Amino acid sequence: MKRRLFQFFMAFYLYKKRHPKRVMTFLVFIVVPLATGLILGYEMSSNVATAIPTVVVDHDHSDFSRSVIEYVDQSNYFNVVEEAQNDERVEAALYDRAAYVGLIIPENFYSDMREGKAPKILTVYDGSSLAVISSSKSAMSEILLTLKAGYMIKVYEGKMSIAPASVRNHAVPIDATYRLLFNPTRNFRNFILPGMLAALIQVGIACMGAERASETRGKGLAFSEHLMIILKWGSLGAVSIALTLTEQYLLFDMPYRGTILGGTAMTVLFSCVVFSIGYLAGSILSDRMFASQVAAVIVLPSTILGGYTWPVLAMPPFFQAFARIIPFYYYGNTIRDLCLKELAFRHILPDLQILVIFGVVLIALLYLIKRKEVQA
Amino acid sequence: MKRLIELIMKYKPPIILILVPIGFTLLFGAAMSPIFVDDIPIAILDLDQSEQSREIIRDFEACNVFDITEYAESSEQIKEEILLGKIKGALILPAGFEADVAGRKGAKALMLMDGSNFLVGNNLMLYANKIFTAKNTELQVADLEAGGMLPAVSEDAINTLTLADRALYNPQLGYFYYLYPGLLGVFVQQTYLNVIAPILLKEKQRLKRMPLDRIARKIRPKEMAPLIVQYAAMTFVGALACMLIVHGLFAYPLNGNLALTLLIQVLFLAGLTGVAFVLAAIFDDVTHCTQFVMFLAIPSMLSCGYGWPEFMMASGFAKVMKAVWPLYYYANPLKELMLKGAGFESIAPFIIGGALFAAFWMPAGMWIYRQKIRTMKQIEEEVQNNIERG
Repeated sequence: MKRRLFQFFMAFYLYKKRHPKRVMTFLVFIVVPLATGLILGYEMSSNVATAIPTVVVDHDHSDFSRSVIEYVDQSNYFNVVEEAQNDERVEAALYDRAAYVGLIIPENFYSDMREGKAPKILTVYDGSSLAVISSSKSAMSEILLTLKAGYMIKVYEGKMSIAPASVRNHAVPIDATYRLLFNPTRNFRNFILPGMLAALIQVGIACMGAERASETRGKGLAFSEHLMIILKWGSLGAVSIALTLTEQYLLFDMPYRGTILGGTAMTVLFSCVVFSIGYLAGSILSDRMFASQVAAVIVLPSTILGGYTWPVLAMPPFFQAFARIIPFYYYGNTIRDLCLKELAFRHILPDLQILVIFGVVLIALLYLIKRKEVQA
Repeated sequence: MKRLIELIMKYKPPIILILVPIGFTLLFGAAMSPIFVDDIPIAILDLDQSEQSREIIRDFEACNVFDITEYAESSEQIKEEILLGKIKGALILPAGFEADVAGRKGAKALMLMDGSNFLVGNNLMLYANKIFTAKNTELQVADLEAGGMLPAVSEDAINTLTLADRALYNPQLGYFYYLYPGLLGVFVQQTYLNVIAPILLKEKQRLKRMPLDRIARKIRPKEMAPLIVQYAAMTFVGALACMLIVHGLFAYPLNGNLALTLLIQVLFLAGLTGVAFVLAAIFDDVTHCTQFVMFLAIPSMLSCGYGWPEFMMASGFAKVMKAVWPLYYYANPLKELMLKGAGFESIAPFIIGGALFAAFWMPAGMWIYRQKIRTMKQIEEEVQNNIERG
């Protein structure tokens, strides 16, 4: 058994030694992206924040206050983990991460409500966990709005003698509907993973670009051969992105609603552009490892600076302008949109055109560098 | 250019360990320094063209969150503009809006929001809701007063069952405030692994050249220990500088105890050193190892319980994640320290977990590293023997 294991390692080790490029390509374009997609997809299986640990303090102890707590507890979003005796305990529970939301019902809440004294329910959130807050705030508002609508209907029926049929129109004079398009359930996995997985793979694509450039350095290749390398490896990178998104689609119900042709064109172009960035770094820097590090460092921050989570429109003007020279700015949001929205080819055409410009500029720069190399 | 590159190569470890985190801190801090998402482009489709609808639109115009970039002609146009990404939402006021409001006939209004980015969609919803709630309150007060209710009583009736909310530790719900400790954790992790793993790989190459029987004796990296400690100290200097920068430039709270911050960082670096041994065992090429390390930033950040908290993770995931990667034991308590000013008791589970992680992975990593060198040596000797035997 030990011998067999040794022979297996030996075969793998010798294969890796003979074909380091093949092994690394398989690792970078297949193993790491698919494994990451599997890990993150499984991690976020619940898709949205549910059963948020909640601590409640009921100073009123009325049937109504108990029904409010029950209503909150029965909602999918909240899980009442503790009924505390005082307000300080709410803060302590949030401090210790025993709960993320606190609900405090004041003393005489029900009697004040009946007397029309406008008692308020206090909700306390742990501001350090934004993913939880975004769900819990809107869920808590919805619960309270439902309760309030019921209360207002009673006020209008009782005090204004308005007919039951039209009382709701008085209680809610303007019935505003809020429609969250494309991701109505606030599915966190669909929001975060399409672009983040592409961002992960772009690191590998850029590193591969630097690596290939180091290999071809000083070999006197014709410029068309460099272009073929970019096209070939850029396409491999695109296959990697496509495989990873397909994995999400097949295993984790991630939608893909947009144009497949447009998505393919966008992915191939993006991958070629990122590969070219790495290829340029590898052509300029003679140290192979340093070139890989530089290529990765150039593309890594683009996840944030390209506005994938914190939107570019909220950034200061300098960063808004800066984002426009980041390829991921055009690709990250578009690939998420292609997953979530029914985008046609014409909708992504402006972004495609810009990626083409990126490609042309990078190839022109590469041409200048390679010409210099040949002259030297 | 050549001299600059030479200079960078000469001082590469301190540059990576101190200057790179500082550079990213400045970059991300400045990019995310506005706390609120304002001026979100939206369209208005006013099919009523009445005084009432214009009043609602004026409220939207007056709100900083909305930037009305278009007055649309049809809902198809709105749909197209949203798909093109030109607008992030739209307010649609139907024909007969004013008459329905005046007659209390259940006037409708529709707010569309592009939900593909939560931060944008949620902000639109929150502020549109505020405007409509205020408008409804105004109309309800008028109704109740017209029904003979005293103004103060009617206002109380309307304000009953409202929520007063308070967010602790990050009252303005700033995205950078929330994200930064996690980012700093990733900076520390990436820079440290980028410097340490290549050193271990070089040592591996040196050890591989030694005779097989001497490997076991020489494996303990006594020469490397001072170097690792030196780089760990640089990492701490870099992290501390970053914290002071975010505090000074971006008003980030620094509520925690410095000794506890140092403790979680020491444990994190010890755990990372164990991981670095494993990486150095797996890879034989320094560049390939470095490339792999670059891959770790995004998955480790997304799986360490920072963005997606532990209680929301799929069953069994947290246990495995905590057993194989140490970022959980650093990024989460760092947030607790910086934002909440957490004490020892509060972050004790992270400290104990981080210590156990390091206690297991340091020797385990070294054992794997040593085994890999022995195996490599045995393989190469066997290959040599096979060649000699013909």
